[in-house]
Amino acid sequence: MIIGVILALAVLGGTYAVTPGPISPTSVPKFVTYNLTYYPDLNATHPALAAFIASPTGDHLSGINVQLVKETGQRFGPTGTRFQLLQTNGTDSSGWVRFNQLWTSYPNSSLGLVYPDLKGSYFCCVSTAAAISPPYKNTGSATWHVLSLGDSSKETLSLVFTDLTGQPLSSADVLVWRVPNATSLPYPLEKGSPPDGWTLKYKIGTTDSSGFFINPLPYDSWAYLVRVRSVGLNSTFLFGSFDTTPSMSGPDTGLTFAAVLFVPTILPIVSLALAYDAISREKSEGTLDLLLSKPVSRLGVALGKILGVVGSLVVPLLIVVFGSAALVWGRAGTAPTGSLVFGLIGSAVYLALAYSLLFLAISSLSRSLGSALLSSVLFFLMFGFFWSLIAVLIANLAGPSGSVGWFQAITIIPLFSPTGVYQQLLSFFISGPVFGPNVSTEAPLQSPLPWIVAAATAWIIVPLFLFAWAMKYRVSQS
Amino acid sequence: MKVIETEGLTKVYKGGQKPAVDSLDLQIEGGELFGFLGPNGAGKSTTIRMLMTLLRASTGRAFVRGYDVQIKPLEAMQQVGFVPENPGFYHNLTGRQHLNYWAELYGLDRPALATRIKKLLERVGLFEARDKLAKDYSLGMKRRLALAGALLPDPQLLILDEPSLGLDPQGMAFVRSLLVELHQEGRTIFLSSHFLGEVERLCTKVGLLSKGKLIRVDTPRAISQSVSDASELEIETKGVGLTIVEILRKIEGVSRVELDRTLLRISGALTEELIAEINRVLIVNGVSIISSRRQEHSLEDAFLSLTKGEV
Repeated sequence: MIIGVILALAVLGGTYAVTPGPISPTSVPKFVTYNLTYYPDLNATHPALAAFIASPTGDHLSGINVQLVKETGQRFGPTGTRFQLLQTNGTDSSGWVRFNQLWTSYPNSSLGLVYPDLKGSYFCCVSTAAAISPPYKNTGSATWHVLSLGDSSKETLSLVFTDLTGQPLSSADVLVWRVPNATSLPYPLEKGSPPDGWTLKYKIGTTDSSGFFINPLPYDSWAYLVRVRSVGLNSTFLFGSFDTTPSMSGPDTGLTFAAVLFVPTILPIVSLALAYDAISREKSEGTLDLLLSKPVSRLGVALGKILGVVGSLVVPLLIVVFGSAALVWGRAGTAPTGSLVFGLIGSAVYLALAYSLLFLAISSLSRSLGSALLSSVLFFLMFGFFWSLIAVLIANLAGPSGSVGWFQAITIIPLFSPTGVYQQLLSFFISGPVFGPNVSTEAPLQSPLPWIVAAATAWIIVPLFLFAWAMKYRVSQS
Repeated sequence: MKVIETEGLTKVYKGGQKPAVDSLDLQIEGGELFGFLGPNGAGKSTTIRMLMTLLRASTGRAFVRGYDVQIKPLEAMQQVGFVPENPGFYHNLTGRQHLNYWAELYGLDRPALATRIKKLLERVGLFEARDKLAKDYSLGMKRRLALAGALLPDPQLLILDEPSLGLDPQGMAFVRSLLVELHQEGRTIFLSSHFLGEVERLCTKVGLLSKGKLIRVDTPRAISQSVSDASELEIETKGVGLTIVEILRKIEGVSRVELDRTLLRISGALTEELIAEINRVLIVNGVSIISSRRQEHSLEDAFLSLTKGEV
């Protein structure tokens, strides 16, 4: 009981600690603007790629590290996107960073820019040069910037257009189309006409004197097609969140840490403490003979034990989860996402049930209290800690990082542990990576849905069957 | 009706060479106070565990109250009170809380329960200690608490595994008188014991178990008497000779005569008439009887004799 309260307080405290505080107005303009400029004329005097980084107010930011990466893996396939680092440069005093890698060196690759210094915004991590790939030509650059840092509802799309020397394109006409839930981009775009299904949503505007076109376009799952017309320039750009997911922000951050880090460690320990002796203690202390010689069915006794253990887990679990939700709400100033709260509860109840059944089965199959405790601890260490390492080990044997074999191993092997199933269930409710003070995590990789369903079912059915079988045919029967 | 019945009940433990209980055919009528007698390891507890659904028989069947314990365990266990050899208790429950818990397992009615539990606690002498943790009870108190639990459903059948084992003489006497009382109320009682004296004094019928086999079932008296056939008369004599031995051997009912210097050992169906005849023959033949002692045979001798001393 006391230990339970201490553990619950530990979860609440840890959740509070990793939840970012509310964003004060003065803290907003850190920086989260970047743009991608490319030089498709390829006349060797120009670098292949350059980027321009500014604050949301247009101040050029110097000394920001930018990594030029090559994407490997399928962006929408099972492997997800992985990056191979090609070069790292910093922005100069005018906010520009240039790479002397020629675009044509990577004919069939997507190149991207990663901004390791800009943690706190997911967009720092992914941008895709290939999304704006040849053969069309332009001399402009495009920027979308995000004012998130804790509140995804405040993310907006802003554009900045410059010429090749970085001089702002002022008074350029801007047209914006958009399509919801874009998962791929139409090619080619050189004609500048919006493809089928794209809706002209925003009116023509013009860039201001510093080249910015700022419109509070919600930056969510929309993809944008932007055309800019100026003297001698008529180019079309694509922007989209199709290849990115917004970072989880504010209150969801703390809750996600609780779900990914604390719950899968603490919940199995508590269920071990409750379940390992449920049968083995009754056996060793002789209370089982008196119980089973009463006119009660053995399966009824088993069911009672399950309800007892799971019930004693679920009630404090609900208190801790709702307590954490209230805590992060109070700290971050906004309510956590409902689907995350209930997804966490559902996944955690699953975890509690799976481990309780496992430890109850061990308890009923063990010869003594000591061997029940030992086996339970070994199983807990195995499934709760070492299994994920084993998965990595096997995945690395299965193929190089990012290969199909590697990906299959790294996603399917964890399903042989209840903790792995829990994490993959949880991934349904975690919409993006999470950055807290000094910690970060992301949604665990998922196997195909049928695998998750099969594993989740097996981790309930198999220990349940073993427990019921042991209670009927083994406990005080042989 | 047979309250307990077994048909070829056999248990071979995993890895065991010989069966712990070997083709046991047991029939216990209602109203009996049956003593299941045998040395440690004879298979008494194994048999009781099979009757109480706490152990699966390897072969054979067991019926309690007419129900096969494997097929209809819930029906068989209704209205059966059971006290195991070492009853275990929950470390956080008092005596009274245990009785409340067990009452729920029996599905007893709530309203009358409190008074019923009070009466039972008084009956087994635990009323004073009712709110103490059961784990702190003495062995005798624990046994009595288990007995109170066994009496909760007012059972017509009580099964007790070694009810007086480990008790002090006072505790044994208490249990014994309680069992007699319960038997007089019309309950069938089946108890196992390796205390011959207890069984001899208490039981209406005795089953002798040795090495998993039922050797004999009869009243304690009949069993004792059956071995007095082979009992002995020791006569310290003066002037005895080998001719006398030959004469004695010819007396009907005498099975064996030994002479050890002046001590005669005579075995046979030693009825009072036969002893008188032996005395007469000795006196007629001029033998002086200095002392005569009959070896009193008891269930213990019977037991030793029937199990051929392999105890």
